[in-house]
Amino acid sequence: MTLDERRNQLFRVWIESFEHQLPAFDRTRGRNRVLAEQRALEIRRERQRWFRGGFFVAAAFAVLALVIRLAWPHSTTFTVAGQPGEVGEWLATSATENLALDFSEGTHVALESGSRARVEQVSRRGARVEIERGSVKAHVTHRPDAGWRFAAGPFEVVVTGTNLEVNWDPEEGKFDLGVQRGSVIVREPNIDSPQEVRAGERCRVDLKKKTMELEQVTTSGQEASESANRPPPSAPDAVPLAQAARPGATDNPGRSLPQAPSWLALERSGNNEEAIAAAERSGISKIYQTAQADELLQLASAARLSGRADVERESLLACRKRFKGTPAAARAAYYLGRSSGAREAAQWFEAYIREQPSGVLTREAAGRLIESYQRAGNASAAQQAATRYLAAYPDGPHAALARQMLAR
Amino acid sequence: MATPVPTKRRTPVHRPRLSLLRPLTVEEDDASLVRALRAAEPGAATRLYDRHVDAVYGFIFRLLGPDAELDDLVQEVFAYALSFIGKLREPAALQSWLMGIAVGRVRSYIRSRRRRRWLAFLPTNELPEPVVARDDVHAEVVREVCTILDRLPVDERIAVVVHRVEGMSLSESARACGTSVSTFKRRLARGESKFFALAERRPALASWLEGRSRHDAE
Repeated sequence: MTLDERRNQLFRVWIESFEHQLPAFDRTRGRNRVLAEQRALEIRRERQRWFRGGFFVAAAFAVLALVIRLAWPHSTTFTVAGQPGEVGEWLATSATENLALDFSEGTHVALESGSRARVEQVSRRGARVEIERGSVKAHVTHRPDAGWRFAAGPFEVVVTGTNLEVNWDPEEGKFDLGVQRGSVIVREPNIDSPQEVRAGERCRVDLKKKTMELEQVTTSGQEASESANRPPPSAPDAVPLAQAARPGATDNPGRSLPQAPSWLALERSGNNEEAIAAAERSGISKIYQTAQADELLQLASAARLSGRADVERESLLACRKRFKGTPAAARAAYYLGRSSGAREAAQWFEAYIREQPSGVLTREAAGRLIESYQRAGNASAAQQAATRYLAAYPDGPHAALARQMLAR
Repeated sequence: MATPVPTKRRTPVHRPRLSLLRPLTVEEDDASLVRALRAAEPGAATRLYDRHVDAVYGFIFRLLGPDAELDDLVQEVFAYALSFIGKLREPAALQSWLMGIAVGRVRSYIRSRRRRRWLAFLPTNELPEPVVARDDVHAEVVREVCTILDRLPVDERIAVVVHRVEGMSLSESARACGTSVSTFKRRLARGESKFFALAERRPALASWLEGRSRHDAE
């Protein structure tokens, strides 16, 4: 061995010895200390800000609210199977029935069987409908300033006056859009530029295969027949969009309401801290034992966004334990990796890749695996992960990191 | 109602098949995390801590060795980072910035620790508890290395650790130490020279420099 080689050997022993001797670290206590100090600092700053200009800000808001109330046109309203609809409320249909949403400006949206969606926001120009899964058909009233959007996973469909059908399968990563009248714009972070889909065309995207296809399916009488099929809200012989029923729903014939504990409703409306508080009031241990897989993931998400790492971790571990082998359990492993220390994170990302070798998050997990091993100081494992990553994703977002690891 | 029969358009549409060209990124990177911190998003501080605490803790341990103040130093790094996140010029270089904060904290701590030791002998109950040896060889190496590092000037000590142990490049190391590359290289050269000269006199380390483990003959 040359002198340099022996010196490098000593450094390797140094690194390995420190790795072995690294004392245990109480992350929870450390995190709580940091967050407590941060909150105290924010409170002090907030008090200073309030005393400086609080009264003037309050007065300005009062004037603005009055102006908006008097001068701004009213937002679009809607009904769900004839009953007044609520913005943000999740709507679900059973495997055999559909649900009709009718908007005040004339647009009609049908939630097909086996689907889940919500009206996320409304404005005077239209609304934004979020499709969690399944299929939605829409007849959007054409207006020059219409602003309708349909969101499905990472996809967004912008509509100005159209008949369309949107399908989204989050598990398979498949998006399917058919346009019968008018045209729409489809946006997705990985599409280089917004994609226009015109009447008579169908757009299919497969996120796993990373392909997008445009297919032409035109009919000479398509537009006329679609217009005839569009049911006016009060027509007694309208297309039978019967009442929907979700397992566990109440007897309310008006619409299918998600029978969820109050914490779930709060989470769905974006009130994460209140959702966690409500979950704890109702017995969070019971939720870990009885909630569905996707509900446990939602609880973990709410916990993460409200700074409750303990609840996030318990929710994800419960999902792993109770729904072993499912895609939800694999996603839980990924999220655990994202919120864990470097060494533990590597184990979780390995678990996700093992359980979902072709999953939607597999490439991200493979990249984060390299980072985890690197942070844990395990250079050899990081290099092995880097080699596997480059073999599978030579142009992936972590390719540069992988090459950097292998160059060392 | 009869199903309409599909007919061809008069003017065929030439729309090429498209494929997704950019990778799907669904998760938060450091730059997005910094934006979230600056926007005071709920949970952003927790995500910062959870994502980087292991790296910061391990880094400070490798700079300092076993010490009772490790946890406090880690907390100081994150407290500073959360308070002054607006000072970070390159959000994507968040981890390097955290390491730079850690370097500054450790440097100050080592200097104050040395001043305290010079001014008064430490009572034995203030010394850190010995690390419980999971492996005698590794514990011995850590002890010997820390003994040598304590004899190096603090800037040379830090230079050796960030470049040779952490594996940072010269430019990254210089940035973390808040100095120019040329100054850093001088400190590194002096630090390495002193380290190896002292290591040759420590039996547990000299054996590695001689090209064998001292346990090879056992």
